[in-house]
Amino acid sequence: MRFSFGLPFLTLLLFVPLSAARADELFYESAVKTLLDQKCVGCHNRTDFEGGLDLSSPKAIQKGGEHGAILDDADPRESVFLKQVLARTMPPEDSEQLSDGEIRLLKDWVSKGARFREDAKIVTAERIVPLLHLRCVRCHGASEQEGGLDLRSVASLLKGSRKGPVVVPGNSAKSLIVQKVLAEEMPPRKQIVPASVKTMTQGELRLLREWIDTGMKPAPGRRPARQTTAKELDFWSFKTPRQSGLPGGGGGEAIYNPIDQFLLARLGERGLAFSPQASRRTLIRRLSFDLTGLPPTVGEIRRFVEDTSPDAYEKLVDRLLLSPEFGEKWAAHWLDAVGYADSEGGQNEDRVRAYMWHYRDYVVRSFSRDKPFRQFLTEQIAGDELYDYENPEMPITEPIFESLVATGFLRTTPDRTFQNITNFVPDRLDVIADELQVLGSAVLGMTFHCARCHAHKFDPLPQQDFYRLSALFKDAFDEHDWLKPEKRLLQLPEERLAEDLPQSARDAVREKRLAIRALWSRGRPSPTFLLLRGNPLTPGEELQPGLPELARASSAGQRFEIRALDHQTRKTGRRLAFSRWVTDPQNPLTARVYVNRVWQKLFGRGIVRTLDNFGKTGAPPTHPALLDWLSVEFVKRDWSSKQLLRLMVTSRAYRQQSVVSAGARKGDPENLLVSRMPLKRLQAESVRDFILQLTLQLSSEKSGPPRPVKEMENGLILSSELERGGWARSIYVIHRRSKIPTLMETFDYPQMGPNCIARKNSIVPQQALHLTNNAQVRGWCDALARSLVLQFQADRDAMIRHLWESAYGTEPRSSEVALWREYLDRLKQKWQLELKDGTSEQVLFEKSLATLCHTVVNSASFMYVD
Amino acid sequence: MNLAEPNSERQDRRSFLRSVGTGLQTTALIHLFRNELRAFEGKGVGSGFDAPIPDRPPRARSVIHLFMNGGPSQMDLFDPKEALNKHHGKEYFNQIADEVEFPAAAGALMKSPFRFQQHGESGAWVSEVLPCFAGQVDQVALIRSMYTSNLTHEPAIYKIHSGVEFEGKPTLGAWVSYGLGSENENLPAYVVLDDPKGLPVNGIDSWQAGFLPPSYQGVRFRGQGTPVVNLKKGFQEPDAVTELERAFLKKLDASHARQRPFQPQLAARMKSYELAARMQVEATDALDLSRETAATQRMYGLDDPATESYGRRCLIARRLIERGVRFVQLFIEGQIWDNHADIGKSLSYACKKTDRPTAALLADLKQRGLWDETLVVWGGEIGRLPIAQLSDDKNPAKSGRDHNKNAMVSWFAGAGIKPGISLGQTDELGFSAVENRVSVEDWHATILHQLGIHYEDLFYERNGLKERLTGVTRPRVVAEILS
Repeated sequence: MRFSFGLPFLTLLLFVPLSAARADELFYESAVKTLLDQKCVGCHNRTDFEGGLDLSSPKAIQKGGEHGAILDDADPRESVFLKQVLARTMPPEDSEQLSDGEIRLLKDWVSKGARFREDAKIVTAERIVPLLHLRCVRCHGASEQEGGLDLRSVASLLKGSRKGPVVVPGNSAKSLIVQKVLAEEMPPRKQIVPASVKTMTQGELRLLREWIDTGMKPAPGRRPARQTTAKELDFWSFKTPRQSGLPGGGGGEAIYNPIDQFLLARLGERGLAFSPQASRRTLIRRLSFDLTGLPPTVGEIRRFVEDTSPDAYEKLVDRLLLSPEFGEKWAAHWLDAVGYADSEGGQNEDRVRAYMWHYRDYVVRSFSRDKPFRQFLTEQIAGDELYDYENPEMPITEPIFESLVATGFLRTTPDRTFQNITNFVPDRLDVIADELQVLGSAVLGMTFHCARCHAHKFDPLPQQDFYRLSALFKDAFDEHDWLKPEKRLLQLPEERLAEDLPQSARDAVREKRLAIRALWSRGRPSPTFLLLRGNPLTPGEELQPGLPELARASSAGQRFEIRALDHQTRKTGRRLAFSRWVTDPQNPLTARVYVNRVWQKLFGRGIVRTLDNFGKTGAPPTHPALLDWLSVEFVKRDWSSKQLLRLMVTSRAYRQQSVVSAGARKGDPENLLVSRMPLKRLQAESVRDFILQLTLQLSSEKSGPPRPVKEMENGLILSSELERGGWARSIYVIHRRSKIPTLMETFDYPQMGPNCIARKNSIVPQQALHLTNNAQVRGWCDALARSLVLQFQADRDAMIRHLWESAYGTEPRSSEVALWREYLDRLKQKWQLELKDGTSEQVLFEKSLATLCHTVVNSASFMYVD
Repeated sequence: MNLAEPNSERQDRRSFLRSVGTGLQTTALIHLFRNELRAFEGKGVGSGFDAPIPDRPPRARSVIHLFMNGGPSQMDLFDPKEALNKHHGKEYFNQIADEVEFPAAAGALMKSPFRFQQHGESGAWVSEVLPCFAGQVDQVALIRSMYTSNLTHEPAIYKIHSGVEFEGKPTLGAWVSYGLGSENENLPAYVVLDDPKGLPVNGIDSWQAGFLPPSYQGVRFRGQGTPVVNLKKGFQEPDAVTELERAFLKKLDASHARQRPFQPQLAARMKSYELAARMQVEATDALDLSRETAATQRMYGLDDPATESYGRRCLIARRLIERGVRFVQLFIEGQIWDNHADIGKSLSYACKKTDRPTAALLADLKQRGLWDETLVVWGGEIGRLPIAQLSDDKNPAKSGRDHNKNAMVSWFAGAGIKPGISLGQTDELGFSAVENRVSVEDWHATILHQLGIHYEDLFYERNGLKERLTGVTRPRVVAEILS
């Protein structure tokens, strides 16, 4: 190709404009038809209609398949048709393939504009409105109307600008809008990056002109959508769970509640039973870590062991459920599921999300107060639509404050749009897709995000589902009317704040820095178009907000109705309607997915192993009746997390030993039948919090802005000591994506991408290296040694017993005490050889004791919970 | 699944890998402990783990990835453009306005400030700023037609390392160590040698394991001081005390495990403590460059302050490969190739720092017989524009070049690579790759191919998807550069 100036060089390179192609007359009718008839029409014809596509006539070809056009008018290279051909995915493997020459022919034909002699194609508003959104509404739309021009709809386009009309129907050459684009004045070139908007391509401009020249045809009526069939919807997880009767059979003493009945029925079939009941010491340690993330103190252990009342265990459960640490522990599980982080990620700067922590505190408070899960979800999905908070007459009371903070749920994912250069429409669509993935995996256990680019291969999730779902959120997540991260702060007017706000919020008000990272409806959503292959350059049909197809399989879906909200700013009410469906007692997924995840946190694996996938590619439940019974029970008990947990932990199943008997190993090798409790390693937060608690360094400070970390010269990230001394619980340490404390990261604290439904459980040498060599860990052990000496003076046996009991929860045998005593003596000798003669006995002893404490922190009995 | 009697090494590895799983109770120590774990009885919990076994003979045993963060300028290094000399000074901004990061500073077309010459038998064009590499150009396969999908560093760096433009996905090295493990159980499979002068853009994200078990993430080795975080004691304690503690801990843990039969993670954890101790020795040894002859040290440029730092890392890379590390990745200070300003000086600086060590690494691999089993890959995350980026005072002598996603260069050398060829063409201005275009996915597929892995076989099931390095794309292996 010769290089010459004056030609739009880039355009010439990437796609040959129509004018250049006119010379050689390559039409569908000349060579392409014969080829398609021979190799494609066998499946894509009027009757077989594979993929909703008929390739037997010009008209049918231009109509496209079930997801819209297969030939892209604006950019031929983006054509679904061409991509399939070039990737050799079509024709399918088992059919006769295209030769290289044939592929070249099709490529030629498509890249020269896919021309038909018998041209049946008409450009309508359906193609033009999304084009104007993509290229123009940034400055001529909802937030700005430069020159008084609004290009969001055909009607507003016809109104023109302050200076007059911008289109002359039937004459594109005389239309100002076309002239401005042709003159390269729109968009202004130097504004492209600051405004994060790209110029119209030649192909798009051609479409726009054709549309104007042919009289600005309106969009065609809605296409008849292919409905998911009853057969496709006939799947267990799409139907409302029901409580069928409890299984009969024996079990007798081993049945504490119905959970046991379900489990024993299956175990019995294999001739198995539960393992023996665990000791009280094992139970209190297990229960404390599971419910609070911390071990019991020696005093707590002894009180429980000595409690002879028949309901001693139940009292213990209730005490732990009421402890403030319960909220912290179970908040952490939820924060994983939603992908909580205190920074934006996406860009190297990893900018801190300054006010995100209000959401973390909200989650802690919600679990502490046992907020019904139904309400908890509603607030998080649509808290801003629950109340008319913009109304100047409305005091911001605690429930309103909580609901607004709750919307931080949809603000968690990595987000690079705070910089102009990474704030184009595709970048924003990535953010929205991530949020919908969080919603899908954490709340509904469905893989909606797969439908962003194509119909789901296995589940009845047509591509339309993803875009109907996006439309439900469009009032707040609008890729054409985007709020950059720093604009997502809701500043609450101080004069309207009620007295009953949470303490940390009141502190923030006092310090004049109350803002919350939130999501809110803005009352002016853009229309939503299906994007072929997820590509904003190839919009398809316009879609209305609505539920996924699978909602039709249960009665909850039938009650769905979107009602606009007559608030201070008019709101669409779409998310509120959606949250009503999500939390409908008849919803088939919400309760099941949550109950299953709670079960997994306690029993080590889900009844459905794939916690985030309840679709057809997910694992089937091992105990379907139990899952349904629990789900219905959960809803009946007002969606109470605490009652659900209480039910689970008071079962006989939960009180089993974790010992693997030879019989259970043979009959239930993977513990699918729950023939024992799993042996569990501490989670990252508990590793750190336990060391701090054991060494008396754990601060009681709670809530509020996240506590800092420091980065050492060698790359180690350490949490910082608090100003008032001690270290905060891990949940209150800043969760900056690029600066997760090394100790926690090493023990599998997740990289949120975008969220984490189940933690990994790795065993790597870095863990051993950190616990054995890290100076901070050792410093904590030194502190413990000093305090043990203070407390027990010279009574070494008492000291050893206390250390053992507080670290392991059990009582040492006297032989074990002797072993540790002997170890201490030998340590002292080693220290003595090294240190000068003058070193006092006291110093030598303290050093040896510190090493013993350090050994304890490194031992398996410390790290594992039976 | 029967693990008892493997009938072949490969079959054994396959069933072993499948059996380990990534379930909640299971360890994920594949690359470090596969021999030991093989002995465990019973199935691992959970599936979703389906690491591939090479189904073709791998050409490469190890990979050294010389990552040139910042975006080396193709038209100033390997892709001279006559048209730029001819049209130097002509306005071109409007034609590419969408493709410029800093429109306000966009200048006219700019010729390269450097002279080019053809080198070796292949006659490849190399810029005067790479004199040492010019001597090796017959050994490499140059790709001049690569392109990527985002012109900004962060997304482009995520893309080149993990296949997508955002964080959270496993990186190439993590995928490779997940798929193949290490050949030395005392060293990690995936080692990162970053520049002591500072982390590149995206920091540690560039070697994350994403949703794979964290054991597959790159382990940072530092060229100086303590090579690995926490590798040495961070506090004072006599060795005798340390040894005593280690022995006593082993005793305690053994007794704990004895009381809990059939819990494989307890044995695995004890092994990890032993490995940690061995790693302290072996990693220290691998990084001890005093064992290299003075001639070798000189060859890598350890005698010159300009090349000392990068030379040290190139030499360490060779030592790690020799010891069976699977994937070594070298980073370089900040965004050294991000030559927005004064490209005459700033690009020369980056070349000066890396040219001699890089050429030495190639020559050294060759002379030590490591050439045929080591794949060396060089390249950045983006390329640069044919137009100038102006300085604040608009002094043309201080111009640089802005980012470009449409054309970039990369080269391959070593195992199974056809030496002395140049693949692909850019347009006359060097703005966009036009012939034999190679995408990032193609580039990934080619590296995996050389390791004996088909990109489609390397996946991890998550949230209903078979996640792959190459996503849902159908990349092509760049067969033209393979021998």
